Amino acid sequence: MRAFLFALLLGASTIINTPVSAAAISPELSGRTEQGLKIEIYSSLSPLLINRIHSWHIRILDLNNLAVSVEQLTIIGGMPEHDHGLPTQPQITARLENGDYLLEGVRFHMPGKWRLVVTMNREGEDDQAVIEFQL
Amino acid sequence: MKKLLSIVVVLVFFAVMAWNFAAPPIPSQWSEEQQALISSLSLAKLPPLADDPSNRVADNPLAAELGQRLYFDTRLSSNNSVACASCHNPELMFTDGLSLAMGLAIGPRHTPSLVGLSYSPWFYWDGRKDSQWAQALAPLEASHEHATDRVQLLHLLASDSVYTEMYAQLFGPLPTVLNLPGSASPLGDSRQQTAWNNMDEGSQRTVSRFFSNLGKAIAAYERKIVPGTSRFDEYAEQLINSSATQQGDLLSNTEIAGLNLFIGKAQCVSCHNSPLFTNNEFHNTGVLAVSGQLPTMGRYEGIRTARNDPFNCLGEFSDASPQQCIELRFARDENDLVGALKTPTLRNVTLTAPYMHGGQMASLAEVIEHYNDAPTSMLSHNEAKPLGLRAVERRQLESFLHTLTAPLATAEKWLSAATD
Repeated sequence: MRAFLFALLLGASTIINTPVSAAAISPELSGRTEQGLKIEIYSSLSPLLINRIHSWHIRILDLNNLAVSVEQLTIIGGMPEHDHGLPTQPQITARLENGDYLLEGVRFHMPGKWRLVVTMNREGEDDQAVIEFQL
Repeated sequence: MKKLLSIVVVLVFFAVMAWNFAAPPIPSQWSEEQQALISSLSLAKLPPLADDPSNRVADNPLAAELGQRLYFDTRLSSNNSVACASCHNPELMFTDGLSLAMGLAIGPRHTPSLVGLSYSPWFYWDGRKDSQWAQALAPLEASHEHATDRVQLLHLLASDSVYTEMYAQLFGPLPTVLNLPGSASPLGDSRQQTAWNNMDEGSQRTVSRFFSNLGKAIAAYERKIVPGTSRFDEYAEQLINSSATQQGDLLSNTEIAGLNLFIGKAQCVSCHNSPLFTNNEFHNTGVLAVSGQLPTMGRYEGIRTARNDPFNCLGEFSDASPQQCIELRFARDENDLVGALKTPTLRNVTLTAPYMHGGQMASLAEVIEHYNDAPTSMLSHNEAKPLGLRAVERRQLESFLHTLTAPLATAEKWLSAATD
């Protein structure tokens, strides 16, 4: 898989735990990091379809379901069977009031298996989640 | 011994022939995954055309009518002989049947079809325009196409009462042509550029605003050009009720076998996907450069041109807010886009020969042969891999492509010049 990288330095902030209101909808995608954090992805396009540009809210939760702040958030996306990345260059453009990170410019252009690698840096330590899904 | 050798040679000959030409049986059922893929290609799954926030008249009926007039009007050229319809001919599925486009001179690229093109976020083979209205402007001023310019066009519209009236209803009164030269453009020859540079900045912006409005009207017309339901679509729709590969007599066994290859072994569906049979993305598939030309840099250069285009979504002539220019803001520009060109639609592909960005391939059989071989790319790397399709499979695949041909769903009145 050719890596496709987008990252945002979120500044040297301390971890803040912000309560997340009960989600009205279930996440489109989810996964768990090596250190046990939960990643939930809420999509403006549901169900996910190819060839439609859209945005995501990325929610990072600790074991108590509290939103976690990270200093750096990096996502690599691509199709492992086709050796290519995403067709666009999505970017995290905002931190929302509920603690979600807004990712804009997401588009998939082929049917098949996709893999996302979500990497974050928190208190100087790296953590990672791999999320696979079929389109 | 000699007899035995003869028998072996004959057997090998027949084995090779059978391998190449004997059709394998088609599956009796589509798998769930295959059914989903076939269904995703059906025209019934085509969503309504999204708004174009950069063009406030994109879905205005009067703008489409003005656009239609402009589209078929040969006066929009320096020798009064070239219209948009000259190359994008409705009778040829909005193509021209030529290898390379022919306006006032031969151009560097093959004319793509306009059918369903309004669904694309990018235009031109290299995606150097990010809206259909911005695309429509470029040929008007290109020396090998219409070879006119924005000031000449303003004089033309001002001299035509129908144009003047329609324009005024849509965009407000035409700018005055008093004090303007007869011909000027920032993109023309030295004479046109000198005249342009002698205009004050306010006049330049006013003229460019007028020019952008012409593109917006032409785009409003082009949004009417949409494909119609084909035999494949009827077949796909019937699959909803049954997974059996045979759906009455809608497709022949050969065509079904071709469909099976299209969504499977031949991997066509990777890029030729969704109801328009294109992902509107950019891929390097090792197509040879056009004869006499250097290999194209493709999308790598195209995205850079789009970002610098004064008529792009983020520019002053766009009606969109910056937040709405999602495709432009989040476009990729990396090295792997060198030589990558846009996936064309396969709808009506049997009617739009020749093929590829330079019309290098005369037949679908040649195109399929190309993808079967997946030759090394002249620049960067070919994303496609050799397919190992047998002769019979290549024919089946071609046979399937014939099921995508259908009359347009566009109302008849849009397929020729407006009559008063």
